[in-house]
Amino acid sequence: MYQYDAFDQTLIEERAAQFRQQTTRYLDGTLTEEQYLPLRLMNGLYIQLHAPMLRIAIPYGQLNSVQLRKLAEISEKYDKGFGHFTTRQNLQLNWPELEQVPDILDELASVQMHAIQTSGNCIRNVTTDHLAGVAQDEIEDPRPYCEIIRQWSTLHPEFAFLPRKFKIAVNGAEQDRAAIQVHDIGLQIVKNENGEVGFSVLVGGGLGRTPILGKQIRGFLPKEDLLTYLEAILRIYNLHGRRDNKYKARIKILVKEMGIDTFRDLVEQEWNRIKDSSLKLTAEEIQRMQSYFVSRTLDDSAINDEQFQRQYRSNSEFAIWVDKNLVEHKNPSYKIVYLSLKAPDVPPGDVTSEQMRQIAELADQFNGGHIRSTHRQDLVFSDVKLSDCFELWQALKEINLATPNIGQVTDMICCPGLDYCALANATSIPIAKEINLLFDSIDDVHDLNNLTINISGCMNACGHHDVGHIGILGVDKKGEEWYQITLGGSASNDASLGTRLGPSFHRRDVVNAIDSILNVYVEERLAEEPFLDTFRRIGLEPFKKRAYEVNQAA
Amino acid sequence: MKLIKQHKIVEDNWMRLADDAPLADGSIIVSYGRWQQDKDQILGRSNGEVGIALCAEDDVTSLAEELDKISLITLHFEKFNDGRSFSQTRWLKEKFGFKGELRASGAYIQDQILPLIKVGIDSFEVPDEFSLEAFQAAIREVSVQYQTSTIEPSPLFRRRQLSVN
Ligand code: SF4
Repeated sequence: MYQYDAFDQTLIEERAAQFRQQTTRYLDGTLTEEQYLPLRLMNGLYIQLHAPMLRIAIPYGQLNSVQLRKLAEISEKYDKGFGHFTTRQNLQLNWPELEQVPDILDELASVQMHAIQTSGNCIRNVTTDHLAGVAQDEIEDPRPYCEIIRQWSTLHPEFAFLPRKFKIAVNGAEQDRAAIQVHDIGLQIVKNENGEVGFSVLVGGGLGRTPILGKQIRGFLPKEDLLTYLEAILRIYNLHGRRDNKYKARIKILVKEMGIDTFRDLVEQEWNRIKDSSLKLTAEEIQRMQSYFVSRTLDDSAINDEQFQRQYRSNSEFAIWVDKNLVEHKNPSYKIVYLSLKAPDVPPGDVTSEQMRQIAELADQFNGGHIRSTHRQDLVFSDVKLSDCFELWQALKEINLATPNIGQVTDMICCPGLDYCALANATSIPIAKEINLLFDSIDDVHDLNNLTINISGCMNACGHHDVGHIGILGVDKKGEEWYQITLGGSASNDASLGTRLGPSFHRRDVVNAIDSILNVYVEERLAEEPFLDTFRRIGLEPFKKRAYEVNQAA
Repeated sequence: MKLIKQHKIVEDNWMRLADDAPLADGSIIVSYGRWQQDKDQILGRSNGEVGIALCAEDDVTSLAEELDKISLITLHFEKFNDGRSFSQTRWLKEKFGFKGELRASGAYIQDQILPLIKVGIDSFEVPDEFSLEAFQAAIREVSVQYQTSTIEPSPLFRRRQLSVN
C-alpha cells in the first residue's frame, strides 16, 4: 500500500486547515451559500436530507487496519456508529455536524486519509479492480498507476471547476472488474506486440440520465505518457464541455455531440504539444510507485493444505462460504476472501463501528493489516492463507459478515436512496430488504447463480442500475414512489446497458415484478445458464409479459 | 476596485473602454467583441497599449496570431465556477507564448487565487475591502503541488527524485 511521505502529509494537513478556514468564513457569512457549495463538495461534504453527509476517500479501495480503526472511532464520535461503503469504494458518514467536519478532517489526516475530491465538479477518487495485484488473470497491477493518477489529480490547479464531475477507472486484468466502460475515462492495461505495457484508453462512458459506453480514443498509450494524455483530455473537456445544461455537461455528451474522431483530433493535437514536457513520467517514478505494491512475501508452506481440505469436506456450511465468497489467488497457498456487507437484515454496504474494529483486528491477524473495498460495496481480504480460512470464517460469522452471497442475487448494489439522499425520488434500501425476503433460504439464493440486482433511488445512478443484470430505478410520479426496471445490463467486458422492461411499477408492486422476472429466468434457463445469457437468448418479452400479468392480477 | 500584482497593491494604469464609448488614446482595455470588430482602428491609434477583456465563452485560439500586438489580457469570470478561464490562461501562456500581463477579474473567489497564479495569472483585480494580508494568506494555504505550474514547472515526482538523489 502507498505510504505518504512528508509532501503528501503536508498537503492533506494544509487542505484540512484550508477547509476549516473556508467553513469559518461560511459560518460567519463571508462566503455565500453559492460560493461555499463547490468548496465543500470538493471536500466531500454534501448537505443531505436530514444532515450533512461526508464522503471519505478510500483511494482505489485500499485501506489499512489503522485507518479502519480511526474510521470506527470517527463514526462513533461524530456520527451514529456506522458508515456506508459506496460504489466508488469510498465511505460515507450520514450524520456528522457541519461544524465538526473540520475536526473530522484533522483526524483523518492523522492516518493519511482525507475527503478531497470525493464530490463536486472535479476529478474524483480513481477506482480500480478490487483484486488488483492478486488476481490470476492480471496483466499488470493497476494500483501504481492509480496512485500516480491520484497525486496528479489532487488539487490540480486547472481542473477544479470542470463542467461536471469526472471519474477515472483503471483495470489491469483480462476481466474488467473496474467497470471501465462506464467511466469518463477508462484505462485498460495492455501489452503491445513488443511486450511493452501501456493503456488502451476509453473516453466518454457513464451512467446517469444518458447512459453511454465509452469509446476508444487510443489503442495503445505508452505508460510514460499517462499523465500528459490525461491532461490533454481534461483540458479539451474543460474548454469545450457544455456548461449551459448540467444534464449535458459530462464528457460523454461532448464526445457524442462532437464525434469521437473530432474529439480525438483535438486531444492528440494538445497531447503532441505536451507529451515531452516535464509531466512525462519517468521510469524511476513508475518503479517507485510499484515498489509500494509488491505482494507481501508469501509463505508457500500451506500449498494443498490438508487441513483446509478436511475442513472443506467435513463442514458444509464452511464449504458453501468457500465456494461463494472466496476467489483463487495467483499464489495457490492463498485465497482472496470477500466479506459480505449484504447480510439480509442490513442496508447494503453499511458497517457498524464495532464491525469496523473487528474487521481491523481480523485484517491484522489474517491479512497483513490490509482491507479493500469493492465497487459492489463489499470488502476484500486479499491474501489469506489456506490454513487460516476456517478460523477467519468463524470470526466473520460472529460479526455477520460471512453471508455466502458474493456475486449472488442478494449481493445487491444499492444507493442510500430516500432514506438519506436529498436527490432521491424513491427509497432503495427497503426495496433491497424486501427482495431479500423473497428467498426462504440461502439455497434459493444460490439457485440463481450469477445474477446481480442494482438499485438507484434516482437517475444519478449511484447504484449503477443501468449495468445491473436487473436494474431498479426510483422515479417520482406525482409525489409517489415508482420504479423502472431494466434487464440485461452488465459492467464487465461484455458491458451493456439494461433495456427497459416497460412502464414503471408502483412501490407496492415492484418486488412482485422482480419475483416474476426471477421465476421466468428459472423456468427458461438451460442447465447452468447465467441470467444474462438467458436474457440475451429469449429477449425481453417473456419477462415483460409475466411481470405485468402478475401485477395486473394483483 | 484595486489591483494586486507581484504581491503588492499597484496603480492600475489601464482604462476600461465600454463597447459604445469612443476610442481613446492611452492604454485601454476593450472587450473581445470590440477587438474583433474595431481591430484596425484600435491598432491605428497614435499612442497607448492594447488590453483585451476575455470572457470564458470567447475563443482564445483566435487571438493566437495577434498576441504580439496585445499587452494585457484580462480573464474575466462572469461566474466563479466557470473553470474555462483556467485552461485559457494556460494556453495563452504556454501554447501561444503570450508575453504580456494576464489578469484575473470578475467573480472569482479568494480560494481560486493560488490556482490562478499556478496556471499563469500575473495580477488580480480585487474589491477595495480585500486586503493584501488576505491575499498573502490565500497564496500560502497549500504549499505542496503535485502538478506542473508556473510557480513550479516541474511536477513533484521529478522534484522528489532530486531530493533523494
Ligand atoms: S442514485 Fe440518486 S438517490 Fe441514489 S444516492 Fe445517487 S443521487 Fe441519491
